[in-house]
Amino acid sequence: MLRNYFISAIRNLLKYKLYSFINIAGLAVGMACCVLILLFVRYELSYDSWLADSERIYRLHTTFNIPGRPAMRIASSARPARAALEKDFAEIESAVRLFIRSWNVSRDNTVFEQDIVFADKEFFSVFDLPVVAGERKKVLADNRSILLSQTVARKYFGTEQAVGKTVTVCCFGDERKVTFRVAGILADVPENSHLTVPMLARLDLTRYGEGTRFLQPWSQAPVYTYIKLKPGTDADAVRARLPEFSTNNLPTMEFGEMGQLDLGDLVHFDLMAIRDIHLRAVEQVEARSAIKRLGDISTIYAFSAVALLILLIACINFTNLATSRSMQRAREIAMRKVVGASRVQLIVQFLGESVLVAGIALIVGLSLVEIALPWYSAFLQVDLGLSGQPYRLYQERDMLLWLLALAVVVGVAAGLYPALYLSRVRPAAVLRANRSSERSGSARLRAILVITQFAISITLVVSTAVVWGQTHYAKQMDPGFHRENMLIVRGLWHRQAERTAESIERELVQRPDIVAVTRSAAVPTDDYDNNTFVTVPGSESGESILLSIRPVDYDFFATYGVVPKAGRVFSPQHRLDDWNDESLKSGQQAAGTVVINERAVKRLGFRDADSAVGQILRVLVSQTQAAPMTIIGVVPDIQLRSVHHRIQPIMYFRDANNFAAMTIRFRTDDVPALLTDVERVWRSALPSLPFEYQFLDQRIAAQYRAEEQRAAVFAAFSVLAIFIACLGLYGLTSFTVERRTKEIGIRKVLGASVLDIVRLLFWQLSRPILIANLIAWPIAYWIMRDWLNGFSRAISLSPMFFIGTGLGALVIAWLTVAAHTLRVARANPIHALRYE
Amino acid sequence: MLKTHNMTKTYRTDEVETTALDNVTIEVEKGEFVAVMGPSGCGKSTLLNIIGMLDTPSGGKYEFLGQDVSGYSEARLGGLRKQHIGFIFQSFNLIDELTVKENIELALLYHDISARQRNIRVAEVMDRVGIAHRARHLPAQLSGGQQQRVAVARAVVAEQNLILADEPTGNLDSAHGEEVMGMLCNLNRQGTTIIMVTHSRAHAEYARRTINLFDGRVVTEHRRAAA
Repeated sequence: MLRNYFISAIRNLLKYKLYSFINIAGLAVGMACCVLILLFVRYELSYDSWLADSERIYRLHTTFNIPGRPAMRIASSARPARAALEKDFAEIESAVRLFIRSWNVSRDNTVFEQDIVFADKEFFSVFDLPVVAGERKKVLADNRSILLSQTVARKYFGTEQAVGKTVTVCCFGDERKVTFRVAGILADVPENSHLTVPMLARLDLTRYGEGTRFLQPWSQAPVYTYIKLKPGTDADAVRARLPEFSTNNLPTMEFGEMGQLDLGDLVHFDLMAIRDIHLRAVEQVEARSAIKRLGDISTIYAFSAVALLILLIACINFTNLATSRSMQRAREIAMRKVVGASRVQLIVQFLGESVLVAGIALIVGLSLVEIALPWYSAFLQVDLGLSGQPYRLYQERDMLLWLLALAVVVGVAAGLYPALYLSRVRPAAVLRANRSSERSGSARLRAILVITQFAISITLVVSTAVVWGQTHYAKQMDPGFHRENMLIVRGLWHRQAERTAESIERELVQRPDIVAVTRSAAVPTDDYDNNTFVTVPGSESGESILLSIRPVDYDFFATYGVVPKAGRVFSPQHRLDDWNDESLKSGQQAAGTVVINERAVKRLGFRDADSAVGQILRVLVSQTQAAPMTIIGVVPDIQLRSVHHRIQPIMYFRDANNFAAMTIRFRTDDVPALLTDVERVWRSALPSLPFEYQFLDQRIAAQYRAEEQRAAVFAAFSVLAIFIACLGLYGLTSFTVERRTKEIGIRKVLGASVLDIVRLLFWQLSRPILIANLIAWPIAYWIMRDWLNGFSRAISLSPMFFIGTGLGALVIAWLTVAAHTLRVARANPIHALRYE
Repeated sequence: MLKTHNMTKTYRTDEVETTALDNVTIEVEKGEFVAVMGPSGCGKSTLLNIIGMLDTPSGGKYEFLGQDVSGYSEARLGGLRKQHIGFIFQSFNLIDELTVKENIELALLYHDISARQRNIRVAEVMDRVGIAHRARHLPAQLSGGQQQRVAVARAVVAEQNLILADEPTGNLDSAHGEEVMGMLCNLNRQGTTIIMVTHSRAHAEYARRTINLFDGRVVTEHRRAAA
């Protein structure tokens, strides 16, 4: 029996080659898309799950609810939290704190700025990371040993043996240099971890002159605290006791004008499973407190949805083609019924056939995946195989079993309706007349399915177009400042750089190819987000208003081409503009000066820019102390960070103590020569510091690289969705046209011209696509409006996105069926009529 | 074997009601060879379809092997059909994608018969109708006569005791027609009941009884003396 089914299926596939091709190609492309997308989704979901005991490891997150401020939610926690947790929670098996700093690490003449992870000695009992050289037990035993990752070891030592050699770390200013002995080599932490450990040393801050920074240990959160729970512990139960933990362990603290406050009421803790950090931390904590760029679960949802929709489109092809050609199978079905086949037997037979087709499609699809993988993997810059090796699909047996299951599910999903439909054939009618017993119901269903396919495709394409448009806009839009020919040099926060920076600046600005040089705490694109409270004396509410603060140098605005809207910007001619002026420090002068942006004008409640100039603000300059500051100017709002971030109300001031980066605006085409010269000046002034530079326009573009990548992948899959839908349409038309030859013959005999027929057929084709547009537009509009709302500056949802896509879909559909239509319209009606 | 009593069949399309069979009462004994004749559209095929349980009557009674089957479900009718009835059609109705052997085997497929047993029986019946040398050919590669021989083989391979033949010679030239009639006569002689719809008076002569239908009614019944 099975053999007979099989033979019948194979011979049918071979006989109706177009039909088989469309079915198999559609399903194969659909499955390939699905597998590619799911590989990416799997990768994103795999973050940290490879870590031993990852299901028991949690990170402590902190929320600061300081009155009058928006809650600050961060991924790190207070220094004493770990010990307190271990005291209160017997469920904790081990715990570790990580303190991560980017410091200059040198070996002989090689200097790089390098992330160093300082950890408690229990590091390896929480993170079971392999060590490729050295002994794991000993490496964190003292505070003079350091571990390098394989990559970092290669960077400093090349092919030399690194273990036993020394590296020097310059920390918290350059006076303090600490020498470490390389005690071991840590295997590189895979990319799919929220953690990166280029260098690992014992957490012992007193050694680096850090001791004084944590005078109020519970109100700051400098470390990442990880706990590993004992097996079988209910994390929710631990979580539920965290409020009690805060109350019991946190002290009271002096909060300036607000007086004594109980930190236990203000600071809250939460645990996040380590596996959730990559995709879900973004919902819980501010992105800047993350160790590494975080992923986003909504991208995962969007991609998974696209995978399913593409598969759905391919399944619809199968369903449509199978029901539309029921005529061709009717006789076989009738005969099988005549000789005694029951309906269930026929259903089983047809489901078997569709599963077979899905199986063949799977093989073809996997071949497509195999071909696309190297490119795809490189494009996404993701290790899809999770093995560190070039990815080979066939090596994953589990995965293949799942895919087999996928083929069965797809086969059954696509074949169920045709099976039910075909098995309903009434033999008496078919065998007598040799005709199909098609009812109008199945034609209506096909029309609905085609509409569904195109509605999905159009929604995808509109969404893709909007994503492209927005990404392009974000990259190209005028951020409100000069961004071409801007060279950024980092490292000014080093104490020795502070002293020499001015002379470097003076030397550089004399060069003819340099237009201007300035310094600032942060440059555009930096993840810089410091705030302070400001009150407007005499304002009605008297409320404290949170403003972003940005220390900049005198010529910052000139260098960046930002022209004040009102008042003036900082100038060396005005002594009070310098926050470090002795007269300010000694309290002889009443006020320093600030420049605010337009958003701050609004936030502070001034009528306009002009009326803000000259006003005095009370600015909180330390935890408890407020000082009066005069607004000397108002500058326009500029897009300092990516368009994902709203433009904040900002207060600029000139504080040379906080400068960290130098911006050099140049005018030359010979950029390499410029770089060489700037580096020479830098090196002669600061020989021990690394020269690290970036170009501002590249940094701005880089902010959107991930988005561009996603947009490109999204676009590719949308195009494939349209392709599959058109493939189905092509097949469907070839069948309907065949069936309608007689009707068209009669129309022609009655006097219809070729043009009339073409118009008729095109109109009948266009109708479902127009309906699909009407369905897709509001859906796409709704989704994309929501998406664009997440940006501070976004394109408008122009009707062109919708009309353009709709027309495009129509034209593509026309082209798809043009050949069929012309052929049948031009055929001699005699043939058409005789054919029947 | 079977008996119909005042059996009617009406077809309804939106507004028009067509009566295909009108109070048809016939009885066919075991081992009989009955020919059904009449002009096009008189209801011959409808009658055959109902007797073959491919269709159900709109009214009246249909008794098959002593049980009234007019109210049976499709599944139950299918079971009876599988057990007792073989079909031969004017247009052969062979499945294009299956070989001669596979087409014949199809009739055994839905019976509980082992593959080995099926092979034996198919080979035997192919010998009997003289088509064994064409076992691996597809229907399209055969002449009309050969195709109908395959159809006959398919109808008899499951050893049912009633064969319904709907114009079995209609698409054949006279020589091949005679050949098929010969086969039917042989089957009948071996005890198979045969009901055959035909336009050919000559072929109707092979039957022992001829029922003439006109406008869905039995108009004459004519019995021939046993040869």
